Amino acid sequence: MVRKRRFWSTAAMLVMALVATACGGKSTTTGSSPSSTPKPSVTVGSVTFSESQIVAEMFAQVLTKAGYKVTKQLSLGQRAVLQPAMPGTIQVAPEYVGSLLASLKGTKSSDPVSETAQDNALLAPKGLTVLDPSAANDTNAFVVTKATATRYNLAKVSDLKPVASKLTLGGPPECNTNPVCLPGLKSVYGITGLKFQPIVACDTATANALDAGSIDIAELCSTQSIIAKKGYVVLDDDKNLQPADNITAEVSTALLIAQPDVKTLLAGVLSKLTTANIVPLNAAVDIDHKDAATVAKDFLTSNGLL
Amino acid sequence: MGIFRQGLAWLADGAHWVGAGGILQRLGEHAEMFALAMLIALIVALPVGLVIGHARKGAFLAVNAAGVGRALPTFAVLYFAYRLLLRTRPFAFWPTLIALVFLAVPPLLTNTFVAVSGVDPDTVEAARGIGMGERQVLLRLELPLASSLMLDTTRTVAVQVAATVGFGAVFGWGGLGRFIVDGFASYDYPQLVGGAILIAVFALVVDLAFGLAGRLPALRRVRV
Repeated sequence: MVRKRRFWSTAAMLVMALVATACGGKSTTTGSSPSSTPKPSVTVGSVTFSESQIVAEMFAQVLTKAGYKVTKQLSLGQRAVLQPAMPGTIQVAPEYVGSLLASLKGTKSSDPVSETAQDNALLAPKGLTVLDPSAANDTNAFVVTKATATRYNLAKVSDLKPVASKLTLGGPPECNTNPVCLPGLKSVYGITGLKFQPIVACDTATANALDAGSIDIAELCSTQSIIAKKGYVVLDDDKNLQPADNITAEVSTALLIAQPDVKTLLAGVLSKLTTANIVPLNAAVDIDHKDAATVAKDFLTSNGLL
Repeated sequence: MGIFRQGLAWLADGAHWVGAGGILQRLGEHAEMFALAMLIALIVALPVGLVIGHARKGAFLAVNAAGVGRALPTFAVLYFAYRLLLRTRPFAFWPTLIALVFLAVPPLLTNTFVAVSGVDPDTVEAARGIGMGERQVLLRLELPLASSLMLDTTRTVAVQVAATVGFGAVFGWGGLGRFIVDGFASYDYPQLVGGAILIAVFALVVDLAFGLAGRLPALRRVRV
């Protein structure tokens, strides 16, 4: 009983101490910048897979360094969770110019710049802006194991046509209706009869299912490090079904207007990203199980952004 | 309310009911998974609950089973089973079944124990006094007296399982949850709402069916 009471009193003191620290912290923040107008709060969001989280961490860290009060809302499931929260709850998030365009029902292309222009036209009524895309292109890739590739003689996507009825494709649930997934395989490649197994997008779960033989073909993200690690064969998109899917930043237009430095900060991050340098970052999180925040910080530091 | 009406309109479209991935197929999968999970859970939970209830020992097991059952999130069980059973087919079928059995067994076990051990000890003693054997005491006295509470529990658990079957779709299994997961992923909100309505109706039908079954005289009659 005595011990219990002591526990509660300790707990109460701890809470009070925390409150005191929190209040103290607040007063020092306001006190430190008396002359300049205080920077607003910004919430950075991302979807669940590692790459999105790493890039979101980079955005969050450069904004924090510039004095913004940043809140992070990472791993928000998929695009369908993230997008409705913007720009109201979330003001900054990494996006992919092509997939974003497909979700906005625009016309895809292999040119990231024209896709960005279309994205911006379609996003303008929602109060959102997409920045100029980075050089890092993370497109959808159809991959098979080496064994499957040898067995069915597969090197490019069009090789699937004669053997499609024997194979199961695993991919995100929206593949059934996504124009760059099953409908595209049908209309562009004439591939029919492929069985479909919905799994999580760009997640290791899809690769696990491929290894286990539950699926024969997996739709993965081309920058997923597991492709190289497992030695999967990426089927060449010989009829150019996949749009350019360069990483960019989707930002609240109101924030961009009110705080011009936000654009400079985010564009600074995007200018450093390439298809080649994002793969090892993904590997650090997916394979070496490092923290996305640490990986982002190391990248920003070595590129002189922090 | 607009989105609800759109969900109803989605349901009213006959094209959504037939064919591969149609409502009828998903309903069949949902019902099959539900029935299998309930059957296995009852086969596991009832005999154990009856025996420990009759012995009036093992309360520790029964009560802790309920505790563990409440504490184990179905989602975690599903994820764990998914990783362990990736090679099994149909895809994500066994993980979903296992997660549902884990959901259903603890309350069934605990309440069967409570129902049987709650039978008036004087009555049980009297039965022994007139020469009933242990098996007779359990089957002809305790089971009939406990059946009412056991049926109520089964009904509650059944509704819970019926609604939770939809979870399997997150991991790639079928059932009515498919419409929620796919509708959400492809921004097809009428489909999402339609799927939610279907699952709710399915659960209500299950509730009603168990409610009616509980009124059957054969299941309520106390035969001593």
